[in-house]
Amino acid sequence: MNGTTGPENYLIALFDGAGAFWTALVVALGVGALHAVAPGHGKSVTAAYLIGTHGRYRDALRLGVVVALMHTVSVLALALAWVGLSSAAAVGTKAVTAWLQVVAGVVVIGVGAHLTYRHLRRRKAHQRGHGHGHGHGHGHGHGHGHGHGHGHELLEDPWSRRGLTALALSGGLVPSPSAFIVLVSGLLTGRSLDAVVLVLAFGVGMAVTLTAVGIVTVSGAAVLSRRTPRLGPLRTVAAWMPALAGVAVAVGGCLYLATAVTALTP
Amino acid sequence: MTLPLITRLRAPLTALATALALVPATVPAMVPAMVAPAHAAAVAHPFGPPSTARIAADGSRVTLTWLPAEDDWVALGRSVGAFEDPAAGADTTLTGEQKLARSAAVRDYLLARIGVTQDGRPCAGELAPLERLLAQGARFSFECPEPVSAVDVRISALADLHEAYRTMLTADTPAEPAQALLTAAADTRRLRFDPSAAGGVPLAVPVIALVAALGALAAFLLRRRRRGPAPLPESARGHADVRG
Repeated sequence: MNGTTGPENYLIALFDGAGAFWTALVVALGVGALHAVAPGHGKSVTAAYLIGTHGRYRDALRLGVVVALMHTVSVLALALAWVGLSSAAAVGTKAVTAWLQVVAGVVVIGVGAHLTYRHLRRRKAHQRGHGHGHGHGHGHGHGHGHGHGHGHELLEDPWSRRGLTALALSGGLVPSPSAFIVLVSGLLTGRSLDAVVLVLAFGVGMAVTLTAVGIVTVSGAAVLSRRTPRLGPLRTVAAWMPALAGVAVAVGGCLYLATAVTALTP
Repeated sequence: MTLPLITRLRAPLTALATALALVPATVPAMVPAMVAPAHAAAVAHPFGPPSTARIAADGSRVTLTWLPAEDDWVALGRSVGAFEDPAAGADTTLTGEQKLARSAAVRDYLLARIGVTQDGRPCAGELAPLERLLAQGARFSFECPEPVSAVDVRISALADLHEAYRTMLTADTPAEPAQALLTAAADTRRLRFDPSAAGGVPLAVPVIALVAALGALAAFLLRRRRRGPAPLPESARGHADVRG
């Protein structure tokens, strides 16, 4: 658990000072949104995935909702264990958090590797079938989000959805330090309900940011793909986009994993 | 307890705090170059889990163990200058933990900021040697004037560095409250040691919230799966995407 900002500090101070609850609620919403801007939560990873799988707006929304819910679950579970099993508190949330991050990193790497593998396999099959698979059909197909050639294949591929869900779950797995502190403080000072509501608001704030990132990604990809057929070299890039995105996702997972391992190393 | 060099090289930012604590005094030469990251790390510390403290009463004696996280010890040691002791400056054989344990400033700091009073009268505090402070924490023993029933416990260590620092106090002998939070804003709490005191803080609300959040998550994921991905016609899908 590291990394924080002034606003997160402000939220904690506000909660400590027992100021107006509504102010704290609004601040929690904003801090959640800001928190999701900070590194982590798989923003870039999910953006890459959305590009690689030609995600849709509803995928972006789904991403936000799942991350927010998962984060709420994660913070609640960790805070409950920390306060409720106070003898276990000494074991340290640092190790728990780091292990959660290991899990998240492995999941992300797996999703990225799978995305790349799927694309390469499909590409191979595609080339075998058509001989010269680099013609209009191919470029256009990718450009419009899997048109004609293999559009249906991807659309019906449950792995695209499962991959996104896995990324979203791993994105929300590692609890935010300030949300954790607010919840623990609330539990110990008899303000459980207030704290739980603030953590929920925090999650909603995160969802807003992540959904917004997803929407920008999806529309950006759509704009790009409409122009792609006219820009020759970009066609090749577009054709390889899912594989590149898969590699990017896996690399993101590796970074995530490396951070966790660093935290676990004494 | 020396830290492998490779750890420092692998993640200079996150490992900085630990490295400063654990690596012998070759490090100070690097410090000026790392002022900014060091500051960032110091700011990040309080947002880890709160420190923990356990308290017990027996007759007129109160024992208290305060256990902050490792990087919080670093922040504490740095704030009182435990790592820059000129006498030990050239000594590269001491680990950060040993420097902390030997520092009179650390002991003074702890004794000044962690205390127990009974009816307004301070209980005489004693701090056990800090040799294994990372594992055992700071172990205090307070001798109060009278047999202990109600005492005021004050823990303001670290809170002077950043108001997000806090300590969860847990009573090992039955007390009311059984658990309390000590913060910069409220660093003192009255504990009433009473064999009939019920332990624990009410956790019903967060438990219900956890179940509800898990349920919502499961419902959301399963609903989508049941409905399944709707295979739209390709042309419709591509354009729908663009327009939203």
